[in-house]
Amino acid sequence: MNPELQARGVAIVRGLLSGAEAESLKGLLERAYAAADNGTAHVDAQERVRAWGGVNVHLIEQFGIDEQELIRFLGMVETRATKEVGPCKLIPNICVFRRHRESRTHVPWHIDADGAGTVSYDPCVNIWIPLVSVGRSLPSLEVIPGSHVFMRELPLLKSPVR
Amino acid sequence: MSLCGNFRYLNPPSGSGAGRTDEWVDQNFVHYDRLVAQLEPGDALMFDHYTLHRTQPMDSPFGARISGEFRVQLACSGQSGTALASRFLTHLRRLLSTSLLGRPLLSEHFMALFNRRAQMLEVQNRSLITTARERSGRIDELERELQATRQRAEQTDKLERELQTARERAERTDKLERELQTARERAERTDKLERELQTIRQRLERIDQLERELQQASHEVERLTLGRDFYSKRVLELEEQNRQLTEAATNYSLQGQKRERELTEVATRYSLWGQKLERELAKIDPDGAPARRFEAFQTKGPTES
Repeated sequence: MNPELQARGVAIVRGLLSGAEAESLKGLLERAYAAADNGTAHVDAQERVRAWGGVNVHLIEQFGIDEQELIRFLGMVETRATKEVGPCKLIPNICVFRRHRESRTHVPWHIDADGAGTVSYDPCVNIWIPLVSVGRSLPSLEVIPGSHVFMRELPLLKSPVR
Repeated sequence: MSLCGNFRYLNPPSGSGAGRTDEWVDQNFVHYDRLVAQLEPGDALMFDHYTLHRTQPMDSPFGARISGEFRVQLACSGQSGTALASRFLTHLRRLLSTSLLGRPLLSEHFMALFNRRAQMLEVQNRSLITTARERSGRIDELERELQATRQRAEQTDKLERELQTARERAERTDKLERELQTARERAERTDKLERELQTIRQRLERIDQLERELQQASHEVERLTLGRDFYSKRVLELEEQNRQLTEAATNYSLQGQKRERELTEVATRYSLWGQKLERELAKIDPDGAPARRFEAFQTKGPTES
């Protein structure tokens, strides 16, 4: 287990995907978002993109993308994550892609156990990979290292739709 | 790896009731650092699913940010007894420090005042309530999953029916395409046969024309044969006439030669006789010899004697 991740509940891993791999994945997602924007994707998929900019990994075919294209990247992430967190299993059902173009879709403080329905997969780690440079001109994630210890002691918030 | 699984939406906590307000975070994490990760494409920020996080606030961000959230379940799905005990003690300390008078410094005094058994029961009671809430939430979640699964099953049935229809249409299309192909081949064959028929017709016309020409030629040959026969016969007749004429001419010639010979003999005899007579006359009348010459006779004609 990555010592930072173990001690503080958060760690930065540089180059988990190579630049070319990230670019390739970004190209795939741009095709998916283009399908949602031009109305060729499934109606439900278009609605999700409008509502929160989200593409659910296990519903990628609703965007006209062959899931085999995506599975290659999932396997890549899972394999490389193993080096950081030890034996693990990637759960497609709780993996998503997001596109933020406006502050409306920005997400307030939360924990995935509440907001992403990951509690039943405990212990679970989120591997967040931006496909563009973030932290300067585009928003990154802001995290509170060590907060996971405290947050584990609180009851989960009830989410109407999770 | 397969992407198939339970159908579930992952909506953002914003407006869903699963988020924490800035005030709540400020109040509960006063002494905690905050980290804003500056990352390049392909870098990863890994964090526990109980770690508080949010989208980095920005005054005027520009462009679109695309990111992936890959969640992995660690292999040690069951926690060790030590970890559970640690979590229980942390929970107990939090309850004792915040639930009584809200003043951590007084908790130890109250601990001494109350029965230890009653406190443990209270803590267990609260834990049970928390667990019950979590289970209730889990039941709600499972019910939603069940509902989603049912909808998914209905959707699957519908899709299967549509797929069956599509397959039937595809088979029908294949059949029609095969028939169309057969029809095309027949049409091509028909075109070819028509072209061959046209060629045969042209040949037949040519043969008819040749037959007509042959017939005309036969008539011409017949006409020419009749002409030839006629002229052959005429030639034979003329040759016969010619032969007869030749024969007659020969006869006349022979007869003429005979008469000529006879005339020559007669003339010779008369000439001899004339010479004899002249010689006798010359003897009788020598002066009259010039007048008796043949030339004089030719000029004056015969004199009457």
